Amino acid sequence: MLDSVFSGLCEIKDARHVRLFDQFGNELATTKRWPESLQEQRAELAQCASVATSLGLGELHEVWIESRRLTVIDQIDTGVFAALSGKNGTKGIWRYQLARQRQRINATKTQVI
Amino acid sequence: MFDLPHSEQIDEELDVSPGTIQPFENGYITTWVGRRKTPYGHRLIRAGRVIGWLCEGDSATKLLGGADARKALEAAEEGSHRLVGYACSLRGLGSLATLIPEAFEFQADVQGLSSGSSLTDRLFARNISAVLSTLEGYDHVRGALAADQGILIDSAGDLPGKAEELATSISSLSDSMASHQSTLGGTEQGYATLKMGDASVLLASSSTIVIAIWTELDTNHARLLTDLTAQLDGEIGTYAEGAATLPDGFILREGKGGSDAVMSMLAASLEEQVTGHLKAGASDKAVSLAVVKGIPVAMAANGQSFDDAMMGLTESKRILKLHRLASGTTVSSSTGDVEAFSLQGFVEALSSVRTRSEKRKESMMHRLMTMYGFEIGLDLVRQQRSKVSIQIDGAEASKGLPAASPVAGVDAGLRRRLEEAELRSDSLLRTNAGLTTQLQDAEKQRTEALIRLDEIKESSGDQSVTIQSKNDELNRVQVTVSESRTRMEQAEERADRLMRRVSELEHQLSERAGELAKALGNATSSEELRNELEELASNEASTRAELESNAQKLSSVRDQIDTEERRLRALEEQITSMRERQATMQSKSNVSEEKVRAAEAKLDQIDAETIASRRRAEEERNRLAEDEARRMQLHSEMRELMTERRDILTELGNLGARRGNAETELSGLISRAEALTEAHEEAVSDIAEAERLRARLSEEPLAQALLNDDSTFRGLGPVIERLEQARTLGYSVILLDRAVERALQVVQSTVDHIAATPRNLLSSEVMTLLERQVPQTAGAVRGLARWSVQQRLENQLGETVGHLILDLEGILEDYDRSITMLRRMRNVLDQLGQLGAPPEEIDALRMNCMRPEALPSVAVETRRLIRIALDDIYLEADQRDAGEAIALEQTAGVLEELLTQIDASGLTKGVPRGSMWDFQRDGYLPFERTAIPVGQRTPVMDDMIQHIQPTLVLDESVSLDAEPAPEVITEGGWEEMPAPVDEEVAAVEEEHVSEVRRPVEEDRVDLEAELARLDAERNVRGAKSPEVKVDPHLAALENQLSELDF
Repeated sequence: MLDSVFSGLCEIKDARHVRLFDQFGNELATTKRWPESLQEQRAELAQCASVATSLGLGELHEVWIESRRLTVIDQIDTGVFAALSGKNGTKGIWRYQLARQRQRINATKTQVI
Repeated sequence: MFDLPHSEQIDEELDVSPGTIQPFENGYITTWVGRRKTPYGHRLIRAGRVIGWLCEGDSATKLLGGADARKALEAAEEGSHRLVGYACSLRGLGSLATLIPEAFEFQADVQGLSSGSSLTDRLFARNISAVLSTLEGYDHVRGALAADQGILIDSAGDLPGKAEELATSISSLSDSMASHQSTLGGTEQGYATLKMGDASVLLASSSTIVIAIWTELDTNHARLLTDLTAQLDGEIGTYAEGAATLPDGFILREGKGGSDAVMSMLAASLEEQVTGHLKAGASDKAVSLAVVKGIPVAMAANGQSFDDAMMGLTESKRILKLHRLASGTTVSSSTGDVEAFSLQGFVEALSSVRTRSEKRKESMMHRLMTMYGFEIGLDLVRQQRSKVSIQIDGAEASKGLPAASPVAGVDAGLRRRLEEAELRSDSLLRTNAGLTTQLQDAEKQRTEALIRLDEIKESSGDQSVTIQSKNDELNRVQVTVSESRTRMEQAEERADRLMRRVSELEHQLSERAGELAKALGNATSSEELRNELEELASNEASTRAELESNAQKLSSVRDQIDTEERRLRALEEQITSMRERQATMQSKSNVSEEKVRAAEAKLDQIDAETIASRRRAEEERNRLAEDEARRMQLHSEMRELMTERRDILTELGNLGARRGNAETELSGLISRAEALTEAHEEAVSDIAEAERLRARLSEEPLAQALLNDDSTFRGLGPVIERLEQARTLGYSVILLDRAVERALQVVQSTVDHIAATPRNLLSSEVMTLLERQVPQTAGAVRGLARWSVQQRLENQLGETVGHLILDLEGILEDYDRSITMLRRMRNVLDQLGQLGAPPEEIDALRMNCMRPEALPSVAVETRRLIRIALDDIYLEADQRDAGEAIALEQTAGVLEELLTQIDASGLTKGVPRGSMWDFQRDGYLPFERTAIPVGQRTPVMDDMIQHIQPTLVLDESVSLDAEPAPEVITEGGWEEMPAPVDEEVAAVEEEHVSEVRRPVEEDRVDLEAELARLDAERNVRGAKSPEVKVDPHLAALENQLSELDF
């Protein structure tokens, strides 16, 4: 399933770098030539999470970094994070596509009634 | 043409002419033309009406739909054909409509067939970017935009503003609309269409995502959405795509396995429209059959083949569970891992997998075909449909009313494009002119280039000749060079040889020198040797000279070769430069030719566009002509309107005359109004005067007290109501009026009594004096007087009025009782009349039955009449036989009863008791009688006492013999009455009234008089027996009764 999600994320417009990793720091799938290492990205995520906690914003779901590149780190499943990055990225479409992939993952899970 | 799914066939003969209602509700009619083995076309029927047409077009893969198909079908049906009808459910028709939406001429006919909610849901289930890019391809779509919570997702086409700003406004608009949607009676699946100016906007939203589509004004949005979803079909991400097992959902049913159980479960799922799966077994070999709304669509069997999966599904040992998946789950044919699954194959396999009996196979097949036959057919149609294309016309446009002027039925999009094309043609014409001049310049350049090319060609010819000659020269030089080289080589060889010879000679010389040294002794030989040496030396010198000359020759040849080579190189350079120039000129000429060719192509294109523009201009001219005709029509209408205007002006003249009359009348009215105004002003001045008087009056302490204190009189309300009610009964209210009058007199006397002292005290002279001398004392006196009056009014007058109200209430109660008694008296009198009492007396008494004040007299008279009747009966009773006596005894009993009733009322015996009767007797109210001493009572007016006495009003006897009095008619219809004469009235009273009660001062005197009267009556009755008048009716009744024998 994650392969399919990864390929879906790679098809997103202007997303040049894609990475899937879990909460324990295991890289599940990635494109080559990422400007940041996984450790750097996890450190950024952890820092943002601590800021969110200190401000009392609740659980951190996604991080957007706008610079020369647009980067997003999003919790796509329980304990699974997706990171996208690329120039000229559009926030709206990235958000929409991430939500779609999340729905795909959720749709394959057993419905608890 | 493909066949539609077969369902219940209609055996009746069908008529498909326009307007005919078909004998079945929903379904379709297939047209078979000639001996063809495939149908030619279909008509779709909804509610008995033909709403859709589909038939073959020019080729087998190109179909026609809608109006085109209708025309084609009607044309084809002119030849031999047959029509076969099939009925299906509305849902089935809806499925067909979803599959072939092009078949419908009017989209209104499709509405309600398929569920509308699925439209937007299906749209949002797809990738929004794909949706937008598909939308961009439509002619009538200007642009589209998708946003999530105000953040732009994607946009396409031309938008009326910046996409980011539009995304924000669209999201907020959608949110506010969604918040009001339920209030307005909509559902969440709906979408909004905004018509604005020359465009319309379609707004559809799902959760937080909103999509806005800008289209042309007349675009059918429902059709656009349908077509869009149809175009995007297949891109939908489905549930458990390619999964070996399907996850469990809510278990609807559970039971044992087997073919029959599977069929029963499938029937249940079809009935309950279950979207989920039917799972057989629980291990890893479990087989799941995915169902969408009860229709099997796929299988998941963990890698097993279709046959194995069918065996597993129908295994009787396995437990069957029907799972319903969460709502919104999209299950489709791509779910599961059994790729060979098809509904038809499944039906065939299920009917034959567990049985060998043909009969059972048939019965199962029949059952399954009943359940899924239509769906199987629909599947086939779906497959066939994907192979063919259907020609669609533009969006439907409503036709104008027949009477209305023709409206150009041009779609807004086409019109916009036409305008754009015209603009483009204009710009192209301008570009054309520019290009033509450029082309001419290019032509000139080309000719120049050609000329230059020719020149260059000529010069290149000269150059080539020169080159040729140079080449020849070069060749010659080369030959010379080669010869020189050979010569040089030869000279070198010779030089070598000479050198060798020299060395040899030197060697020989050395040998000779040696020999010479040996032969020094020999002179001859030395002479010879010397000679030889000289010869050798001369030889050597000549050889050397030769060698030098040869070397010089060689160097000159070499120099010549170098110069030749230099010349050759220069020539070669010249040639290459000439070649380069030639190549550049060639390329230039090629480019020019290309330019010429492109310009010619452009010219052709521009010519074509010019032709098109001319055609458009022609159309424009036609349109202008139409406009001209319309203008002429408008002119004629204008002329008619002018005549109407003239008529109206005439009418206006008439109305003006009428207006003059009305103005005259109005001036009269105004003068009257002025007079009225004057009168009004006078009345206003009167009112002001009255106000002034009232103000002055209000300075009076009594008036102030009375004006301020009105709460005491509120208690009169119920009494007044009862008085008014008594007036409506129709009985005389003289007594009540007099009682009220008396009460007012009492109040007046009380008020007078209260006001007497301060009025004297506060007389103007005294007060003026007091105010002048002691102002404080005057104020105190005035205040004390006011206080005293107020106090006394509050206490004494309030008390008096309260008592008077109570008295009035008592009188009213007596009045009510007297009315009741009068009614009873009337009844008694009626009965007496029936028993044979003298009718004239009865009538006289009945006349008085409307006067409560005469009740005592009426009662006495009635009693007298009854007594007389009874006496007569008792007297006659002795003279009659037994039967008549019994009848008379009954009558006597009735009369006795009446007598008892009258006596019980207390009106006949002595003085009647009660407030009203007391008031009638002496004119005093009970309050006066009990609370006010006799000397202080207000004197009662005599005329009032006389007015309320219980005298009877008697009917004057009219004699037929009497001469009629001459009628003297005065002015106003009033008749002059004769003056009353006291003597005559007294005579009448003596004659008709047995007793006239006169006002008495004391009760005792009254009683004595009453007793004396009664005695007199008894004496009269005893002395002379009155003649009994026998009523004929009573006599007849008595005769009848006498014959009865008890």
